[in-house]
Amino acid sequence: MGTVRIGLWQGIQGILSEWHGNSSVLTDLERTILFSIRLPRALFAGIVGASLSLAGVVFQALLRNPLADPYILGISGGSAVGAMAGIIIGAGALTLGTAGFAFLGALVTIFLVLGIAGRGRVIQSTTLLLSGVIINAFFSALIMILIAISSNADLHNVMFWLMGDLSVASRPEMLAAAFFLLLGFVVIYGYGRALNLITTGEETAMQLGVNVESAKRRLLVTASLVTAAAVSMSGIIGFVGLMIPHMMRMTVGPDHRLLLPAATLFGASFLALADTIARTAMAPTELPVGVITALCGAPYFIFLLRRRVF
Amino acid sequence: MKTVRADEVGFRYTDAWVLRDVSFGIEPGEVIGIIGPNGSGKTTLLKALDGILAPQEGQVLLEGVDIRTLRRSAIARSIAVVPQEVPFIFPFRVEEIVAMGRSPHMGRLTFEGRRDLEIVREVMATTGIETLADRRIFDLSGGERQLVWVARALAQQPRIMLLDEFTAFLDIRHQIVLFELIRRLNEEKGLTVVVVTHDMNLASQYAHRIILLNGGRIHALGRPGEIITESNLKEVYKADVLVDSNPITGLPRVTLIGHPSERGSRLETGAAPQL
Repeated sequence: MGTVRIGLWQGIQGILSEWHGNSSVLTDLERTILFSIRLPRALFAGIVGASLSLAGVVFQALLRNPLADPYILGISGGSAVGAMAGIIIGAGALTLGTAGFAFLGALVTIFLVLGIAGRGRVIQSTTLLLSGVIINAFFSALIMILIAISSNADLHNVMFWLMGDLSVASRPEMLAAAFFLLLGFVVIYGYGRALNLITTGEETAMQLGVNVESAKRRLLVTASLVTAAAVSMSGIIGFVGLMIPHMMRMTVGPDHRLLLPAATLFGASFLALADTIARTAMAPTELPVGVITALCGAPYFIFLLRRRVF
Repeated sequence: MKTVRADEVGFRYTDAWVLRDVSFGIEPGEVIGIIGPNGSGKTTLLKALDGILAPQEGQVLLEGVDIRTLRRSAIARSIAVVPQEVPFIFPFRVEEIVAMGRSPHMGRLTFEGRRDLEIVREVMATTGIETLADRRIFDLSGGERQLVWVARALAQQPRIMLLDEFTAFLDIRHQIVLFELIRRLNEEKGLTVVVVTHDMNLASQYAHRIILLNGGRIHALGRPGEIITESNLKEVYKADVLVDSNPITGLPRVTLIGHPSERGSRLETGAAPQL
């Protein structure tokens, strides 16, 4: 589906026939659009959706806060500042330029937040939340300064980045995001049972044999890196990391050994679908995918709040 | 060898010492009651015994080993804690919560095996909560929840159980049910028990020995008859109590009277209490 019509069935046939090495089903133009634009884009949306959902589950469990999302520690703000700085000084022309700067911004944020909250041996969840809020506020101010001083041409790119944009992914970007997602999932899944226990209180988790401080530190860093990788490639796509964990908890239950894979897979499909809607709803104009996720997410979240299901 | 030994334990959160010079040993199979006024260090002592807080002075020995050198999972296989309340934010089912008690016995990536599930069923039967297995934790009453925490602690198959004011919010029937359960586990399975409680009558009735804490120090330590005395309680709690003997068990029984000065003045003037 898209501005150039390739039917669903035709698409599937096309993919299958390419697999078998005969290319009679699609024209050259259609083949190029399908394999160089649409499939990679759907794949990229999937990687980003999976990363955000996975990180969302971890942050909600670690902070024992159902309202937590992957951006709660200010990673979004940090990478936004990085990305904007990159766009303004013209790094967008380089491979991984904007994304690289965004990732750097996210890394700085992670160090800042963990540094503020992790003074001494113990990381306090409330301190962590508060320092995230403060860092986010600080970065918002920086973002506004950068918007104020940037030229019109840059401003367009900046706004697109801030609203979340899945169209610009290059192959190295996708590989990098996929790498962080895979590695992150492996590390986080190893803490599945520990996450269950931590949601019932850190002291309880210790009493049940979890080395809470080391688990928390590793999980925070891992989930932050997964978030940072996704955000710096795609821009700020809201609600996915907040909503998908709740939807999956209602479906498969709160046991993280099931919840983590479920949220990761469903997050991938959800964002790929949302992106498809964003591309086609007002074709040929593309909506930012963040618009679709927020339009679905906000009402759903109000519904959750009213039902108090968490 | 003592099951748990505190050796001149001193602990402070910030400047003021919350525990100081606390030394005692617990025999295997003993039931120890810890009583004392608010802020006397009862809960802190319990956390030090479990290795959750690291004392700045002295040490805690678990079966002869400095508890600081043990991994959390190793401690959790010996010591289980029954809390007053657990802050659940996600809708776990009762059976899932009890199964969490198996955690210290499980490998990192494994799910509960047949043996684990057997143990979970067993402890749910022991605590009488089989029928609650599929209920969500949010839908239970305070007494039912407390039974769930006890079941989870039992699923750890501990040798020592620490209970922190676990009957504080319960009605008298649930208090008795839980204390009788603890007594049965102690007598039948040789479980060592340490109970922090404000209820001196329950402590007197169920504990073999009682530690009376005051201002972070051990004021007195001994059998209920030696500890629960009018002079001890008056000195530590600054409140007048009547201690006589329970007509059924012969153990000390505490009746609250009132604040010494108020009571004195009322008696002198002969005024009836205002209602």
